[in-house]
Amino acid sequence: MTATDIAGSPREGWRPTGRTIAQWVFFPLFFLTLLTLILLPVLILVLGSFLSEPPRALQIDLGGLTLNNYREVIADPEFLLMLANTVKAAVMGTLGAVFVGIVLAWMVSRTNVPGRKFIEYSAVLPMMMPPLVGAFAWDILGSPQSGILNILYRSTGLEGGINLYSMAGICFVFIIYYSPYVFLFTTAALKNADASLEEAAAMCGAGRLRVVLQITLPLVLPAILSAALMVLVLLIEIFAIPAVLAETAHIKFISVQIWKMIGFAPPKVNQASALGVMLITITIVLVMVQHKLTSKQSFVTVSGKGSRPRVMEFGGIRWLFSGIAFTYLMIAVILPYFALLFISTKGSLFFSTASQMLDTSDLTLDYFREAMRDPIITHSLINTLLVCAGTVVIGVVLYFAIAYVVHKTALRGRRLIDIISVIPIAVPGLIIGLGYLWSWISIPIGLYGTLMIIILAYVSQFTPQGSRAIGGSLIQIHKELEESSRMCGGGFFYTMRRVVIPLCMPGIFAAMVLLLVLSFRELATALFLYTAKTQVFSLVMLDMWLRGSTNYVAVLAIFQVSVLLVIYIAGSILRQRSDRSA
Amino acid sequence: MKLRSWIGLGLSAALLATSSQVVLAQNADALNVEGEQIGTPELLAAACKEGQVVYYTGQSDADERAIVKTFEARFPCVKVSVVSAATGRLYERVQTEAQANQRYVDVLMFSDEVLAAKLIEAGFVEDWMPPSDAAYGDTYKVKGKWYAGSGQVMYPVYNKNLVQGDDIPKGWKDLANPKFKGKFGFFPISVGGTSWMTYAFLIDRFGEDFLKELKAQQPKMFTTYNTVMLNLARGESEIGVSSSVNEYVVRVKQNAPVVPVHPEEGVPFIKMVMMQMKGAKNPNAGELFGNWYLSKEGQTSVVNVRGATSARLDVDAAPGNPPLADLKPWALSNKEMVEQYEALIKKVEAIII
Repeated sequence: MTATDIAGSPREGWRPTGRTIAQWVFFPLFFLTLLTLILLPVLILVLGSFLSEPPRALQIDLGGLTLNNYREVIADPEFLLMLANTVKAAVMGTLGAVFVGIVLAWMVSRTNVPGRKFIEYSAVLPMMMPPLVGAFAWDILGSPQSGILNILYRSTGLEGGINLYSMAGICFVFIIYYSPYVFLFTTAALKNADASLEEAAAMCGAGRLRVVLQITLPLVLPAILSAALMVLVLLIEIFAIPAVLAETAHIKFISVQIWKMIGFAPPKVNQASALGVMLITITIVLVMVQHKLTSKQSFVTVSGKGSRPRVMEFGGIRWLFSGIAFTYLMIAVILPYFALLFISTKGSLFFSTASQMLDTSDLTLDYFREAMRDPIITHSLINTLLVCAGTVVIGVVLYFAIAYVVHKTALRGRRLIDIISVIPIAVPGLIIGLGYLWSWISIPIGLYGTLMIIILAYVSQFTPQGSRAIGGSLIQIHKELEESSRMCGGGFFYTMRRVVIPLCMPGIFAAMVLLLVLSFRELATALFLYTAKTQVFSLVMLDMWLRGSTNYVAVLAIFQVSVLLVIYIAGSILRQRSDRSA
Repeated sequence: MKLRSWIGLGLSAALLATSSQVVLAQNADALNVEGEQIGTPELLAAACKEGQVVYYTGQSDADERAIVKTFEARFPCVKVSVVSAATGRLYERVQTEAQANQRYVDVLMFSDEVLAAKLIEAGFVEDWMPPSDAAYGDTYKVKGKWYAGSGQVMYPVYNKNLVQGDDIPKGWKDLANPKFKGKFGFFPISVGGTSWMTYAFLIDRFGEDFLKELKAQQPKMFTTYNTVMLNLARGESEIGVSSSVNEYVVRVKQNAPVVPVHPEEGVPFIKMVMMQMKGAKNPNAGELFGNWYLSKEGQTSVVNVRGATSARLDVDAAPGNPPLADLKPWALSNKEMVEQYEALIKKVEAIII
């Protein structure tokens, strides 16, 4: 089989060709894998939303078909309010994240702002903090009465302060933890965008602002729209931040309602599935809107031609830009880390005045010592690292195959693969775990109760992010390179090994780091799948939080963030080495 | 093989046999827990052969692991695998595992008696008569099926830094003091068996109108009792209703400025329902573990680790907590609860969500 065969060059005769084998042997097997891994758990959830009894272990009673679950969800007097809150917070959070992400991306890639390399590395650091930990840290910093910032503020004799228990507060935390997604997408697009158009505009007399608004922004609009869509979808589904900050503010969210429906007694899993299906529908509509919007961008010129990005030379104002960026990063990165460190070393977190808060007599490292001696924490850390490794190994192979089939072949049905691969992002992690439990427990290969079921659930859950990270690199590889290899006698696997994979390494590295980070911090998916032997780190942290052991939560959060930082730094170093050797 | 080797081998075998006898004898002694015989030597031998218990629990994972350490120290041949989750999630797992015929759990304990009744009705629960059956009153068991392996009471709690003098609450009615409007932490009935029993108690003692008074207080409605307590302890609320277990953790173990109120009118007692599962892989180890959990030693461990309240009257309260009798516990029988369950939820949700 050769690359061209798979790419679909026509052949005469009835003898099986590479393409025929790919189409009728490889493709059905691949489709079956994705069906089991991604589609089955989602379909079972959708089906469950139309049944009166949960389709546990694939035991489906079609006699119980009903729309009552939807009726019940919609009849909830607070449903519309919850929907409005969810959408409002997600839209405001997305707009804020897009603004912050674009400004920072523009600063680091198109200006001479001092410290831009540092800003570039720091801007993604909030991603290393899982949303639950981030919300917890901001709760410690910004709760109205006992928040560290408010206590310090009031100690100056002033009244008032900030209130994180509000819609504005929730959106603020959304922005901090989701602007890195926009930053990453936009920076990459800005660095790849052809600068000649901007230069031409400048030579024709366009001012800086006009160049930015009328040339640069439209050039990277598809990337911004993709990032905005992803952030919007993630914010519609997010549970951890509303769970920590919204209850006190009397603000109800759909994700928290799903959590209640599944965890509370009696559990309302069919109604939770109905709510989940509604979120899936919203996501699908958004994806279609985005597709329609981006497909009209015929003037987009993002390419791999390798032109140098045009840097705008600013005078004294560049220091102001730098100051703004560093102040933001101080707020978004340093303050939450400081809050965690403070709480993890403070004997009591129940202080109400500055003097109580700044009293150093009860500072202690006991929580760290006890956490490090706890075998459960060590055990869960090892489990998590094993799950991360498994997710990366299986995930990268699967995502590469998906990206290759979608972008580099002419196989019939590849659009279907593309659509299937994006579905998991539409399903809230809180209920997809239920889908895995209901469907995979019946597969007679002894998956249930093992680490492998958690690994496969993560592989399935992160398919959109992983396959797109690799797909982005694959698209940039010209078809001619594969054809040249074939012309020189290289077979399919040789071309893969010597041409495609080496050229795709930046995307593969990006997917690996992303998978490591996502699988280390994932919380909701494993809730229905773990056992005593397969408990993961984030679940231990959740248990501590539910138990009220706040100091230990802070200690574990510091462990978690530290490990993720190491992964991120190691990934960055590897990527740089790979870039240099390429 | 030389003669010396044969002699060595023989001596080793004899030593091994002797030491096994010693271990067995020690284990048999272990069955006597503070004067209670919690099983037969045959049960112990079978439990040791199985070697482990899979225990699903609605109590905190960290707490349960601390509790089972005492059991594992007494019976080193049996290890306990703890899986902790919210009651609704445990129920869904148990149902799915049973329907898939993959019985993973041996012993189950959660906070909802009505869900327990559903599991019994579905035939998923094994008959079980622990030796300590007589120590549990009729309200705290469904004889031969489940027993209150743990318990907690619900009561008002206030922040002593913020609530002082005449404002200090003395009973449930003080929750409706207008001074606490918007500063009152509470929870909806939908949280589960614990909240259901609390609302049942409030209606039983004070009538439905009292719920309307509470609604008028614009309570902050939390989905976990832990967040009620943390919010209160940090001064974001001034008063609230919480579980004694969550209150105990922050007051005794973290020195929080919170004070529980023990009202004259009594407090609702919430049972954690413990049962043995049918078709379990480790039925003997499960039974031994369950018998120990309900023993005085097991209950003392539950009480001391997490400030829980035992339904056994011969078990002392946790340090810093009053005896159960002084709290005037109130509870419905399982029959009453099952009968009233749905209707009460509808009644309450029409007033306060």
